[in-house]
Amino acid sequence: MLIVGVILIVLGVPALIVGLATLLTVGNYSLSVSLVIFGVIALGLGVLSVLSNRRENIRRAIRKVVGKKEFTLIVVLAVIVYIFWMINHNYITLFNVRNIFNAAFVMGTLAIGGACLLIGGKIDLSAGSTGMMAGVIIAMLLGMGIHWITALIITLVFGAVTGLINAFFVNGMNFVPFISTLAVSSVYGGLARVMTNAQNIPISSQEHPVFLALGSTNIGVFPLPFFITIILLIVYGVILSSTKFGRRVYMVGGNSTAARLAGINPKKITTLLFVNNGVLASLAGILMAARMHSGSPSAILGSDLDGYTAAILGGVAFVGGSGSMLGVFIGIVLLSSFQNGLVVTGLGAYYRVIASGLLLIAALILDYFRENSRIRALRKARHDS
Amino acid sequence: MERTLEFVNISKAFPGVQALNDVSVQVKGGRVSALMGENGAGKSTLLKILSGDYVPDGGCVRINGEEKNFTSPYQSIKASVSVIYQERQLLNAMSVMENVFIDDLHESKFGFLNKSELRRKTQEIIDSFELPVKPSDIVGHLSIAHQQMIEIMKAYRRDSDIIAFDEPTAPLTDREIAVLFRLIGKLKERGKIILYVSHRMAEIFQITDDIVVLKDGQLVTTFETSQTNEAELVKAMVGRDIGDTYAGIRRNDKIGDTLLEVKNLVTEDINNVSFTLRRGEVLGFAGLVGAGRTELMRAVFGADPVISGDILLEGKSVNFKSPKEAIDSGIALCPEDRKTQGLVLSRSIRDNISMPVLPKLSKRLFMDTKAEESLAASAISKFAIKTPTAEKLTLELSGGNQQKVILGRWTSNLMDTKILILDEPTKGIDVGAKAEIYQLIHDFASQGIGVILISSELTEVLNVSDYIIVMRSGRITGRLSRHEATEERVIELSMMD
Repeated sequence: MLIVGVILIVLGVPALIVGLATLLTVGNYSLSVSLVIFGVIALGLGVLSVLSNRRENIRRAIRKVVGKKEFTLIVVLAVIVYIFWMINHNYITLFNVRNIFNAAFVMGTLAIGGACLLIGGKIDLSAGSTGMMAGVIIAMLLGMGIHWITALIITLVFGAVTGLINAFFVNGMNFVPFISTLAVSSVYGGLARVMTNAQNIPISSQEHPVFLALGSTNIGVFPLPFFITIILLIVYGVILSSTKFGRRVYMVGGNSTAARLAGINPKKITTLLFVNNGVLASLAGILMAARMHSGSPSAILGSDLDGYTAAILGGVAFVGGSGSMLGVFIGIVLLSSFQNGLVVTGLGAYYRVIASGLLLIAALILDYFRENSRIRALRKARHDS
Repeated sequence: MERTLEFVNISKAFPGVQALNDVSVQVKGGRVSALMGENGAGKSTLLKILSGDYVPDGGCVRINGEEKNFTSPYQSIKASVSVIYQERQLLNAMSVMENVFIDDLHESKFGFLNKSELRRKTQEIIDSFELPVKPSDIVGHLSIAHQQMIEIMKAYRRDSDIIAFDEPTAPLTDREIAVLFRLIGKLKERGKIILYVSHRMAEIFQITDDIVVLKDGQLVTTFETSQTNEAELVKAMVGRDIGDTYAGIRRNDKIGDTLLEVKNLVTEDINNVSFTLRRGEVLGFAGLVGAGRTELMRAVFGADPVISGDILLEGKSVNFKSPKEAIDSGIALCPEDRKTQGLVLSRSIRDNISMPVLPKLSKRLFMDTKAEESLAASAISKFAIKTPTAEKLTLELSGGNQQKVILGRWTSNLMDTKILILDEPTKGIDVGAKAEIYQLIHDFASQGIGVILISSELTEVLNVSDYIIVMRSGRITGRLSRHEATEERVIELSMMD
C-alpha cells in the first residue's frame, strides 16, 4: 500500500502541475483538463493510501466507503461522463446538463415508485400505462372545463385506485405481480388509445395557464418537474431509511414469511406500495402532460422499464430487501447521462435503447463480481475462525 | 449369482452435523432390509448417497462387489438403483404415463413419442398395481396416495436391481399398502435388493427380513427380523450416552398458575388437541417429523386458521387472526426453519431483532436509531452473539448465533413475552451452542415465561422439559411427566398405530 501510494503521488504531482500550466498558458483544453483530473485523483488516492498505511481507522473508513455499491456507481458515472466529454466537449454545458435532467424526470418519478416496490419484493409493470392514462385523463378533464386542482386530484385518485386493483390481484387472488400488472398495463394501453382515438388531446394555454405552468416553470435553470423529482427522491429516501414503514418494506421484501411471523403484515405493506406506485405514476403522467401541453396516448411508454433499469443500476435488488434512494438517484443520472451522451456524440436516438440494455448488463456483471468476492471473503472468514 | 449391496465406511458431514460416521452395512438380494433409527439418525442421508444425490466425504458403495462412486442421480439409475423418496418427485402437470416413463419415453426414430406403445405399457403396470387410474390422467389431479403409488411405479418400471423405499406407506391407505406389500414380495422373489425405511413397527415385522439400526449417524447393530422383538429394537434405537450436557442445566423449579389453555383445537392438520401450559413450565412436544406439532403451534400463534376449539390466554378466550395479534398478546414463536421462516437473512442483526417492536422504537414519524442500537447491543451482550457489530448481516452468522438473534428478538426489554414457542431450536446447531440454548430455556422459565419446546431429538425433549406431550398424526397420544418419561415409552407412543 505504501509503495503504491508513493508511486501515485510521484505521478500525480507532475501531472497536476503540467496540466494546470498548460491549461493557463497554451489552452490545449482536453489534454490539460485530463491531466488535471488524473493528477488530482492520483494525488488523492496516493495520500489516502499512505495515510491508511499508518492509521487503522482511516483504512477502515476507506474500506467502508469503497465497499458500498454507490461508490462503484459514482466511479462508473465519472468514467462515462469523462469519456463523453472527451468525445464532445459540448457534453458538459449548462444547456446539455439541463437536457439530461429534463429528460430524466418522468423516468425518475417512475423509478422511485418502482424501486420501493422492488425493495418490497414486488413489481408493477403497469406504471407506464397508468402514467399515460393519467395524462389522457387530466387532459380530458381539463378539456371539459374542470378546475385544474380538481382534475389533478381526480387523476391522482385514479392512480391510487389502479394501485388498489394491482394489490387486490396480488394479495387477494395470489396472482404473480409480473403477469397481473402486465395485463393491467395492456388494458390501459389499449384503453388510452380508444379513449383518444389515438390522437393527442391538447390542453388550452388560455384556459389552463396555471396547470401548464407546472410543466414549464423554471426555478433557476431547471424546470419545476426536475425539482419535484429531487424532492421525491429525498422524501422517499428518508421514508425508507428512517421510518418504521420503510424498515418494514425492507423486511417484507427480504423474507415475507419471516416478517409475518415477526408481527408485520406483508399484505398491508404490499398494498401501500402498489397504491404509492400508482399515485407516483399518475403524477409523472400529469407533469408530462403539463410539459407537452397535451395528453398523449403514446407518451411515457417504456419509461417505466427505464425506471426499473435505473433502479437496478442503482443497486436495488430485483429479489427484494435491499437498495437505497441514493442508489436510485445515481442510477437515474447514470442512465440518462449515458443515453444523452450517445445522442450528443452523434449516434442516433435508437442507440439509447441499446444503451440502456448494455448498461444494465454491465451493472449486473459488476454486481456478480462484487457478490462473488463477498462470498469468497465470507468463506475465508468462516474457514479461519 | 446373488446380488449384494455394501456401504463401506461411509462418512458424510453437513455444517454443524456429522450425518454419517464410518457406517458399513451389507445387504443381500432376495431380502427386504429395514433401515431404522430416530429422526436424524442418518437413514435418509444413506439413501441419498445410494442415489447419487450426496457424495460421501469418505467410504464407498459397492454393488455386487464392484466399487461405485456415484456423483449424480443419473449414474445411480444407470447402475440399476431406484430410490423412492418421501418427497414425491413427480411432474404434476404431466400424465401418469409420461411420469412413469420419464427417463425412457419410447421415442420413435424421428424423436416423436410413441404414445400408443407408452399407453399400453403403462396400463400393464397400473394393472399390476391394481390402481383405478388411466395412463392419460394428469398426476397433479390424483390423490396423494395414488401419487405415491405412481412414484413407486417409476421405480418398478425401471426393473432396477436395487430398490429403496423411504417411508413409502406414510400417505397410503390400507388398501394400497396391501398392494404395495404384495409387490415388494414379488420383487423379493425375483432376487432384488430391497431397502425399506419406516417408522411403523408393525410393518417392519410384517415384511422385512433384516433390520439395520442407525443412531446419530452411526451403525448400532443389525438384526434378523425373526430373531428380535419390538422392545429390543427400540432399545437399540435409543440407547446412548446422554452425557453431561443436560446434567449441567440449572433448572427452574418455580412453576406457577395456568398461562395458556388449549381446548379441543381442530385445524386442517390437527385433530381435537387439548393441553395447558403454566408459568415457568417447559412443556416438551415429542413425536416424529410430521406429527402435527408445528402445525398445532402455528395455529395457536395465529399463523394458520383454526377450524374449531378454544384458546384461553390467562383465562381469557383469544382468537388470533394473525401472528401480530398473538405477539401483541405476549406469544412468541421461533419457527422450525431459522433461515426461511425466522430471519430476514439479507438484513442485519439489528433489523432482525427490532422487527416486532418497530412502533415502540418510533418517535412520532421517525425511528429512534439510538434506542434501536441499544436494543440490539443489549441482545448481543445478553446472549453472547459472536459478531463485531449489530450491522452484520444475519446471513453471515453461524446457526447457533442465528438462533440467538431470534431469541434476542423475542426477549428484549421492549417485548412482554409470556409464552415462548421454540420449534426445533437446536436443529443443525453444534453441541456447545445447544447447551447454551438449554440453559437459556430454563432462564426464561425462571422469569415466569411459559416455554413450549418442540423437538424431534428425544434426549433433548426428555431432559429439558418438565412435562412431555407426545403427538402422532395430528393427535396427542400421550402425556408424561419428566419422571415418567423414558425414551422407549415416548418412541412407542409416537409410532403407535
